[in-house]
This record gives sequence, C-alpha cells and structure tokens, in this order.
Amino acid sequence: MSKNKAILIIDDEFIILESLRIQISGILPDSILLEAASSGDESIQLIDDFYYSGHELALVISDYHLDDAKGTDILKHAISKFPEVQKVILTGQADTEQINDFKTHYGLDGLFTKPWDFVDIKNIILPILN
Amino acid sequence: MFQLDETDTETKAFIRENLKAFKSFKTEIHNKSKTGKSYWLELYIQPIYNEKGIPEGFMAIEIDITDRIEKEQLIKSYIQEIESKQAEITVINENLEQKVSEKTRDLELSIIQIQKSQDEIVKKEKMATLGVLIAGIAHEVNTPLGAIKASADNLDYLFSTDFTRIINNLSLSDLKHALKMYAQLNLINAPSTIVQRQFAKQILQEINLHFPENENAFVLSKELAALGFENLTEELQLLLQLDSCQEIMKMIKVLLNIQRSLKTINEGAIKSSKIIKALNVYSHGTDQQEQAPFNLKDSMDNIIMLLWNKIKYHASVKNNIPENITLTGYEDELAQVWTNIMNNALQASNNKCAILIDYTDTGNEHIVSIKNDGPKIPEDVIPKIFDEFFTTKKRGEGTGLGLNIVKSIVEKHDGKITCESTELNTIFTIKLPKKMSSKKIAILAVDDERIILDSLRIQIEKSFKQEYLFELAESAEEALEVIDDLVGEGIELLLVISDYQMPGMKGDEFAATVKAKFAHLNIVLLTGQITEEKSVDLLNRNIVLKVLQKPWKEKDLLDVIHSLVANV
Repeated sequence: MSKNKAILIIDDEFIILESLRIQISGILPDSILLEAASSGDESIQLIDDFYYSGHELALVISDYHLDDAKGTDILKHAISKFPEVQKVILTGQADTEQINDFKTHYGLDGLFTKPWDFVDIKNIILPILN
Repeated sequence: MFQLDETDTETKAFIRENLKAFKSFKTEIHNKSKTGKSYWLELYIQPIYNEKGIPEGFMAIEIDITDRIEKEQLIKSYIQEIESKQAEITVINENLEQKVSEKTRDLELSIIQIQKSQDEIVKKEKMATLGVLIAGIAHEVNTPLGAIKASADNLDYLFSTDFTRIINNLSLSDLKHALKMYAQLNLINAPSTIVQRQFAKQILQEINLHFPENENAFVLSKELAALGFENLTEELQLLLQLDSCQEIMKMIKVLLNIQRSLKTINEGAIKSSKIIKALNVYSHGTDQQEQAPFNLKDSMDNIIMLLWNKIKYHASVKNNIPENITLTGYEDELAQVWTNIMNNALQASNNKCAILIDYTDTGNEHIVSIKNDGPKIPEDVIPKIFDEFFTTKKRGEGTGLGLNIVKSIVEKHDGKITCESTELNTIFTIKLPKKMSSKKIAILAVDDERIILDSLRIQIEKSFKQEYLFELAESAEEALEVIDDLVGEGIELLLVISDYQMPGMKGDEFAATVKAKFAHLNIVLLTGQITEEKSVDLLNRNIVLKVLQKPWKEKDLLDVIHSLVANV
C-alpha cells in the first residue's frame, strides 16, 4: 500500500493561509492530508512529523519571507526528507537572487506572486492526485 | 564809411536805415583789419546838425569790444558743449536705467529659478524616498490582495462546483439539519494552525473513544478542527451517527468557507486601503501651500506602516507619541523627516534594530526623539551627517541629500535637529516650536458711552502683548449677539467688561444671562451706581469676576487681564 500523501502550506499572514487552505481543501480528496503552518519552526516540525508518521510529503507551498525563516530554507529541509517533493514559492514580490539561486540548485515547480491565480494552484495539485 | 565785411546783414540794414533817417543809434559791428585779424567794435552814432537844424553829418564813437565778444562766444560754445554733454548723459542715463531694470528682472528670474530648483530637489528626494519604500509597500499590498483574489476564486468555486455537487447528494431534511447546525455555530474565526492541531488531537481521541469503528477518524478530526471545533460536541456525536453525516458535514464546511472567504475579502480590503491611505502622508504636499494642523501620532503610524515590510521580520518600532498631539506644518515634508531617520536606522542595522519614538511637550516646543539601537555613528561623521552630498551609503543607495533635506525641512518649520550617537544607541532629536496659539483671543467691552469704550481700548492695547480682538458693544443686547458670534467662530473670549447702568438690560442681568449660557466666561463689571450689597452678591454667586468702581484704576483692570492671559 502506497504511503498517504500530504501537502504543506506555509504563510505567516493568516488571511493568506486560510484562503489558500480553503482553496486547496476544495479540490483535495480526503485521502490527501493538508497541513498549514504559519512559521518556519512549525513547518520543520510538521515535515519531520510526516517523515516519522510514514506520510509522503508531495507538495510544499511556502511564502518566502517568514518571521523566523526563508521559504527556501523550509524547502531545503523538505527535500532532505522527501527528495521527490514538489516545491512552490509564494511571494509578495518577484524579487531576490536567493530564490533564483535556489531554483538553479534545487529546481522549483512554481514561483507564484501574490495575488496568485487559482488555476496555477490547480495545475500544481492535479498531477499529485493521480 | 565803415568796414562791415564781417557784420551780419541784419545789422547792416539796421545801420543803413538809421543813417538815412539821421537817427542816433548804438550797435555792434564785426570787422577785419588789413592784416586779416577779426575785431569787434561797439559803435555809437550821433547825427550832427547845422545851425538851421538840418543834419549834415555824423559823429561816431568806436569802442573795441573784441575781447568781451570773444569771451562771450567762448562761454556760449562752452554752454553749447555742456548742453550737448547733458543730452548725452540723459541718453546714457536712460540706457542705464533700462539696463538696471533688465538686470533686476534677470536676478528676480534667477531667484525664482533657484527657489524652484530647491523645491524640485525636495520633491525629487521625496520621490527617491518613495522609490525606496515602494517595493516594500507593493509587498504589503500584495498580501491582502492575494487573500482577496484567492477568496473570490474560492467563492466562485464553492458556488459553482462544491455547492451543486453537495446539494445533489443532500435530502431536504439533511439540508435543514446542516443549516440549523451552521446557524448555531460561531466558528467564523478559524483557529491558528497550532491550535487547530491541538483541537484535532482532542477530537481524534474522542472519536476513537465514542466511535472506535470509524475508519475515517483521522481525516475527520482534522476537518472538524479546521472548522473550528475544539472537541466532539453532543451535536457532532449525534451527527456522526447519521448515515448522511459526510454530506451534512460538507454542507456545513461549504457554508462556513463562504462566510470566512467573505470575511477575508473584507479584512484584505481594509488592510490594503489602510496602506494606500498611509501613502497620503506623502501626497498632501503636492498642493499644500500652507502649513496645516495634523495629528502627529497618526502621521507617524502611517510612516511605520509604509516601512512595515522592513520592520516586521527582525526590527521593532514603538510609537510613544500620545494620541492627541496636533502639529501645525507641512505634513508631507515632515513625513520625509520621520521616514528618512527611520529608514537610515533600518538600513544601517540591516533591518535589525529597535526604534523608539518619544514625544515631549516643553510648553513652547514639540520635541520628537527617534532612538534606535543600531550601530554607532562614528564621532568624526556626526558633524557631517547634515551636510549636502555627504553619504556613507554605497553608490546608488543614497543621494547624500537625505539628511541635508531633513535639516532644511526642520528649519523651514523654525525647528532644530540634532543627533547623538553612542555604542548603545543613536538619537535624533527634532525640536519644533509651537505656533502661536492659532486660537484667537478676544476681549469684549460693553458700555453705552462711547468715551468709556475708547478709553478701555487704549488702556488694554497699551499693555497687551498678545494678538487679540477688541470687540465693542453699546448695549447688553448687542453684546449677547457678539458673544454668540465669537463663540460660534471658535474664538476664545478672554473677558467681558461691562458697564452696569445701561439703557435696556442692566449689567447684572446681562452678566447673569451670559453666565447661564457660557458658565466659563469671565465678566468684570464697571460701575458707579451699584450698591456694596449687590456687588458682594454678584461676586459670591460667581456671576462676575470683579466689580470695578468708576473711575477705575488702569492697573486694577490690567491685573485682571494679565491673570487671565497667564491661564490661556
């Protein structure tokens, strides 16, 4: 039996996190676990929890600027536990060299700027459902 | 006959005529000697008569006047020369005047040009500051916009897809059940992610306890926690026993998500409009010609909001300015002062400093201090920080005009800016003098005798330093109208000086009427007729501040005024 899939979304702005959660939970079957986190610490904890509870982290969508971490650092941690994970950065402005550096080294499945389009989220999620 | 070669024709004709008529005459003639030398003669001719009285000859007396004539001619030529020089000078003068006025106009134009370019420099610096802020502001606005857009998409999806799918699987009684349950819930605020996970754990335990055979317990607990349930309530337990439990749950979830999406849209719109409004502190100036009052705390909060993107991660700002401080000045230019100082602190500390904004009122000055615990500004740099083109920033990061313009803006408000820096912290202190109370003060004098009013005016004028209005009324009735007008215009009526004995309403009745309407007004009664008893009564009832007997002493009146002014 294949592992239970999980998706992790991260943003320190609650209104973003909540609207993203409603968005994704609406198109997600019950079989896939959706978790939301509002800080780097929380995210690392959740990624480790997925790892030890035998979930397969299929997708991480993270804000870039967080109080205690950069979104790219969270993605790196996710890769270390789940090399196949899909990686998306959600940012308020298409900025920073760091994101491009990350993209060159680790690859990025999506770089969405706020306000983002639901279609982009669907396009990332749908392949995971199969 | 005479040599008349050099003499003009007119003179020659004159001589001939007189000779013919045998008249005596006097003239001047111009001759040339045989050597060719020119000479002038004054000539007196007298006819000579014989004994019969018939003229038979002439007697001529000649006086050489060459010297005199030559001198006269010389003087004439000098005069001519002087006149022609004067004409020249007039022309030169006229030219000069024109040139001076041209130069003056040029200078005036240059001054306007300089002022214009100074304004432009200030404007450019403002734009540069905005440019620095704009990326952060865009980020701050994009966040609520992101939430708004996602929520709108969610609503669209909920109505077009979820709703129809669920409705099809729902019986009418299930729908009623869902709506009833939803109506009783108060779960509009989604709990934080950490709290949600605690709820989920609790609910999972309870499901496992009450419904050990439920295979869906884990997902269900997550779902219920996300909806905001803390534990497995009785209603939930009843619901879980129903066959259509899943459909009803989904319906409740959709309804709740609709409500939450609407709330997010609302919050997001409020947040983004707040940020946009904050930008107003920068835009007032484009047409703000005169200094205007504004709330200092609000203005500062707006600046903090615009800098929030730099502050929120690792820095902090505490705005200790009290709520009710009103400053009069150019809000947009002062905004640049606050922005520049805070932005410098953030830049110097790599956005990792604690900024503390304090306010002190010294009575005649507003003192705003902006303190940060960032790196020390070296002692040799401090004296130069307000200089033009001085910058320690990298090329492209700063224009070197920032603090120079900050200083000029503070000085434009007649204020002073200083900077102290130690290992512990750096403090910028801005002292802005308070504007002379913009509230106008007035004194009202009421007397039916014009002469009394005039002498009051002169006495008060002599020893009153502040600007004030002196209002007159010749009757109590007129005075009541004047008071209403003054109060209506927001002018502070410092004192009413009233006569006692007037036609119509008397001074005591007038005072009582005024007091009944405006209890805080101070009234001095001027009188010759009032009884001691009545005056004590008026004073005791606090209707008048003082009763002065006519003729009053100037000092007594001014003492009253000065004590009132001191309390303004």
